[in-house]
Amino acid sequence: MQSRKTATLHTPNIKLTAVKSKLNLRQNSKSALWFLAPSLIILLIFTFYPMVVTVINSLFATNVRGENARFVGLANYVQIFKDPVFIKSLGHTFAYVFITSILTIIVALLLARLVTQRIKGQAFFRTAFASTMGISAAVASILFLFLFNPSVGLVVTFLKAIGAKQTNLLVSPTGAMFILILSSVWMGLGFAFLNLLGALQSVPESYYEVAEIAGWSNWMQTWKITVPMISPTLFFLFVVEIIGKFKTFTAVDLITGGGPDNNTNFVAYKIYQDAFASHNFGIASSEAIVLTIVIAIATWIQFRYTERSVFYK
Amino acid sequence: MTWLKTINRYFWLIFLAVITIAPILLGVWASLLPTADIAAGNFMSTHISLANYIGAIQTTPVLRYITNSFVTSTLITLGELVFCTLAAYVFVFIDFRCKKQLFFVFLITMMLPFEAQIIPNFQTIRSFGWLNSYAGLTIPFFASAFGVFMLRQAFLKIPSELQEYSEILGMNHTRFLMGIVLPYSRSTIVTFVIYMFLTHWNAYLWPLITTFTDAYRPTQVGLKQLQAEDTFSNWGVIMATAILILIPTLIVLIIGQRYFKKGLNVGGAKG
Repeated sequence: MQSRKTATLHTPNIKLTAVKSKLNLRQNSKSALWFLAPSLIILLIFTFYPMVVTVINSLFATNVRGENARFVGLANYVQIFKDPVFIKSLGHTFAYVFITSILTIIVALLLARLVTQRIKGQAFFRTAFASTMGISAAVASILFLFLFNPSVGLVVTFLKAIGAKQTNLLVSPTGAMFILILSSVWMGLGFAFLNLLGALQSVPESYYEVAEIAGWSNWMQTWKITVPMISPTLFFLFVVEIIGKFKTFTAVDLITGGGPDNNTNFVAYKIYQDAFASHNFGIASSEAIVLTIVIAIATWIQFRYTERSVFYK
Repeated sequence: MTWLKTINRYFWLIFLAVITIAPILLGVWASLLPTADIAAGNFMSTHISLANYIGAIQTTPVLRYITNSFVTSTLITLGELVFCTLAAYVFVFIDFRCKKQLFFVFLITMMLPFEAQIIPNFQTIRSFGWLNSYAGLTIPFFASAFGVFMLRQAFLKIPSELQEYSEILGMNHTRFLMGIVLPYSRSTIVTFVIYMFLTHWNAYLWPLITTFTDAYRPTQVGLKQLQAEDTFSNWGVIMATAILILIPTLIVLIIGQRYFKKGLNVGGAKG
């Protein structure tokens, strides 16, 4: 945390100093403290209060009217960790999050490497690879639903043409997961690409020139020069991706609905279902606390080990 | 064999660029084709027209959705800008006891996922009578720790001389904030506005839970509504709607591109 030096005037002029001490913005602070009130009130009502309520709800059994019926201690937590659907949800969420994050970064790195090398039409390629940045999860999901639609989707048409047996990927557990990972990597590509492009510009061109003379392949250069040089950015991106992907909701809701057989029922979606379809607030709240713990740990790592994180998200 | 290497590189660049923009291009292409051709798998059809767009505007509430998203995103962005500016100002220009601790309180909110707060927030909004309203869609998002950090970073770059001169001139907080701090941080504020507008334009979970009618439903949830209602799989119209929803985003991004290029690549993983 940085703090500015208190303003001091290095001037012998006594008159000026007197004026200053009377009007010092920094010390004349009582009135300006009210500036914090609007944000604090909103955070209290819509962040801290709900977090406390969620913790309390997670310790109660919910009755049919959605009220806290009786205190059950940690029983809800015991129950969710005995629930095969939640365990599956947790495991599949972790798998999805890590595969997606790693793939996004690898693909974005390769694209950024291709674009930073001296080429004509650089601006065009940069725009093309960054283009997915503004696309919402909902629009992306609709585009992928269309591509993989079992009757009209182009991917399916292609699969049929090459003689694949299973063409409706949405009904197979790995197929549904595959579509979610693919759409997610695609969506996240623009952001990762732009960040890596920025980082790559800090790697001196001469390193590559030497490697070129030594006869290193592109892969070798990327692996031995680029990756070590930009490792802070890679780590930052990895943590940011993980935090974002853990909250994946939209794509699940629109593309798979958590299916087939709960295979893509990721944690955020499971919480939503238990809360707003089953109205079991106790169970949903304890699941929400598990999600919070995971996100809080990842965010803490982000704050702790990546200096940019606090400022660039 | 340098030219061979160059050709190889361009082959990959073009191939990967095509793959990357293919989902969007196919969406645009499909939005121009008659649904009958799409259903028949006739993607090479030459029956290109804007009929799906006219159909989407006439038969679906897409314009209503876009209006709702425009109203909510604008309101949130303005509210956030005011609230975050005020908070960031205090954290940079005012000394007070427990400043570090209070800053930490803001920091903590970034560790708490909104997804874990939806049940109590839903109940709060319901008790305020704000379900299915612009108030419910916007007010909970007026405070943003990330927004405060972003503006704080910009305010920290303001030379301390400027503050000293303002003091000598006898400026009060309001005049210093409006006359010096904000104009000086212009480019960060533009980035802030673009980032926040896009984030809220693309919001999904909260509107899904709190809106029930087309009168308040914003675009992203509206898209789900259309896709779910449409029993005939009218892909042409659905694609046209998706593209219509995408256009404002692209306009904002194109306008903001030169600010993003300055190295402040805000954004983040979408959920």
